[in-house]
Amino acid sequence: MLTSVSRTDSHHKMQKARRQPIRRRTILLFTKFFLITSIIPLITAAQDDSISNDLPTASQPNFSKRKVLDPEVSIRQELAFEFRQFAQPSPIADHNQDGTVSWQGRYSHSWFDNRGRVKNNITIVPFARYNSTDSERSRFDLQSLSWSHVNGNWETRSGIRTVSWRTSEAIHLVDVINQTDLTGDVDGEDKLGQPMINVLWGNSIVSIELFILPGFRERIFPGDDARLRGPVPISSKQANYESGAGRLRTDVAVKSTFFMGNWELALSHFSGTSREPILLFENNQLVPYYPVIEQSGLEIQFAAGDWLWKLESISRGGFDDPGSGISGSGNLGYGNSLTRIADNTRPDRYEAVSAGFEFTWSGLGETGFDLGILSEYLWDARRDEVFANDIFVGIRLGLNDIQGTELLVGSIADLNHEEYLSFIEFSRRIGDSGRIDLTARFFDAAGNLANRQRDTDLFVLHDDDYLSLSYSHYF
Amino acid sequence: MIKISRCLLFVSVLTSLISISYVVANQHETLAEDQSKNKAYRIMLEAERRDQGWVDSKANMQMQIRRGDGREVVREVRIQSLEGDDGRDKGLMIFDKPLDVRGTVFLTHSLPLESDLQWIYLPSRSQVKRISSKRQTGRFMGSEFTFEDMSSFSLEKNNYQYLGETSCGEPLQDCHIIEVKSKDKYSGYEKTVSYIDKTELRSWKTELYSKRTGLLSKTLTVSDYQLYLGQYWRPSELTMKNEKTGATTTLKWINQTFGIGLDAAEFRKSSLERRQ
Repeated sequence: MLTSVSRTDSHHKMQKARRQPIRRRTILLFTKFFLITSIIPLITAAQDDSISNDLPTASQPNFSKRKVLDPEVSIRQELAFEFRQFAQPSPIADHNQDGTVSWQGRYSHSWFDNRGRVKNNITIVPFARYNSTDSERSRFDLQSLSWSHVNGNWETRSGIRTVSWRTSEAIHLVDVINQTDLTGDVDGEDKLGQPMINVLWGNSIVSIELFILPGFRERIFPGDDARLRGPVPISSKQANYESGAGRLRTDVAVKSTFFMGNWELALSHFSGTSREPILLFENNQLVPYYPVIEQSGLEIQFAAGDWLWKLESISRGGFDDPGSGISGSGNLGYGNSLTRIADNTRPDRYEAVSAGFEFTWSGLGETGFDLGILSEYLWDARRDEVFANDIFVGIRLGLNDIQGTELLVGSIADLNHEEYLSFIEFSRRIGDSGRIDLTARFFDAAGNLANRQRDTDLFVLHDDDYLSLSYSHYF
Repeated sequence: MIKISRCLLFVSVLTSLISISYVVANQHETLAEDQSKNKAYRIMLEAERRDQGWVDSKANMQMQIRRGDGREVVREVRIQSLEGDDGRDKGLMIFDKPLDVRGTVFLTHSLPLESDLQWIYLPSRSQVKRISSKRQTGRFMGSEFTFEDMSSFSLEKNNYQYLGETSCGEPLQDCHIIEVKSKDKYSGYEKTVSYIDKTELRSWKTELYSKRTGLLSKTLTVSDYQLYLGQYWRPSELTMKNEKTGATTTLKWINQTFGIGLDAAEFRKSSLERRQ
């Protein structure tokens, strides 16, 4: 019933106690005597040793007699208001500011066994958002509607869930289970719930997960009225699929994670419809095409002192367009490859890597703040990709104050041509149940308009620098 | 050099009238540094030995953070711990207050000699992040406690020295004064000095000296010890006072329970999501 560790421990103690029952009682009496009289005990080394020989027996907990805990329900909600101001007017959209209201609820119901462990859990996470200008950004989604069942080292999680496979900070190469909602934030970290059956087995050094993923969800791109998109509208109505089953294909994934002290290594494989589309130019618009891919992923983390080393790498096969035509990456939806003719010499399989570190000085100054430096190098075998030869540098400041004030400043710099994707994220708690977030993003490049249009990856975003202020209330 | 520091320490010890005679009598016994080290180590070894066999525990932790300017905020965290061999304890912290961090889960695997392994589950990103465990000098949720103060005690991670005796605790009783110096170069403290009662080896007060200035930076006062399973003494209240700013944080343990039957499987990275 107990873990092997504690069982041997208590067994050992019981043996000891049995061996010296009389002596134990005597010493206990002495201890009480000292307590009552408060006489200064002259504890010599010898006396210290005599105490060590005595060991009271730990009472063996009896779990079978324990009453099963009542089920536990937890509900939490977050209501957020965001105001966004763009720095420059846009040639394709008529507004310089917009507002968003979003709500996320979370209902969790847990059932326990007689040892107080979670046996079953149902989690429902609905999400709703209204944006003043972009109908694509206004939506309702279920991030989670799932049932989890635990049995020893096994866990089964079925239903709609959101799973993050992330190690790196700047980009997330391996993260392949859930579809991205690009209208949430251009950083691609907002995800859509994915139906799945997820079976996990794990012990203290390894965990193995199997995912069966029935049904596919399309990537959400900013709508025709929105900012932060290219000049060519992206069709959200007529996506094409390599798989004959289209959106109904069932995909599979496996992942195993190994824990070795300061090392953590994860290997994964995904076989199915790519969450990232290739955007094909058809009838004056971009139509997403979702090929079937085989993607193997590797994640390594190593914690050494103040350093945290991180590596993410993928090898992806089958990510190519169905034939001739003009193709572009759908990673951000506005790659410069939109203007290039598809290169037939592209290999069928490619690799991409993101490797870097996070170094943290902690407890600095009188207030004990933390200062971290982050840096990652991004490489892609497809040399014309957005993040093919880039470096990310960031500084994170955590004040460790009551308000939990945090500041993150960073930039992804393209090493092939002078182009910078920079951001400032500031966050601070207000009272006990609120938080304000201030985010600024800048899309910059050197050179004149013609040069930038020809050479840069994210030219279409160069007029979309913005500042966003949001307040979130938690209850 | 050692003699000077000992003299200074004796001055502070002298303030406690009860133990004057004993201190003087004891002076000769502890002259050799090795001897005092041995004695201190033996006491800590015994304290650790007595604390073994608790198997597991859970409790609610409430923190009242009072800043120097009088402003006060409250933090609430649920804590579960699982005892392991040689200080390989495992701990879970589930955050309830403030509300913006509700559902955040913090997992620690303590190691006997190396630094702890730590992960944090962030509900807003459905993601478990590894944390660089050397961030131990950072303040815990804006309180006067650092991550180092919150981490579990591990005997072999420190060097010990016996400084003398005095009286301490509630009610006042005879206490050892033991200096603890962390072997970890990332520790935020030059040293800490603990006042431990002789009968039950409970720590009642700890003075924490800043590594940067070498001066007394914080004082931890422990009170309201309760006996669990007839064997384990646990405090119900700990107050950390910042000697420079006057800010205090009071940590209260509520509903401490032992022998629950927690499973090692609950203390894994993959289990954090369901713990929120």
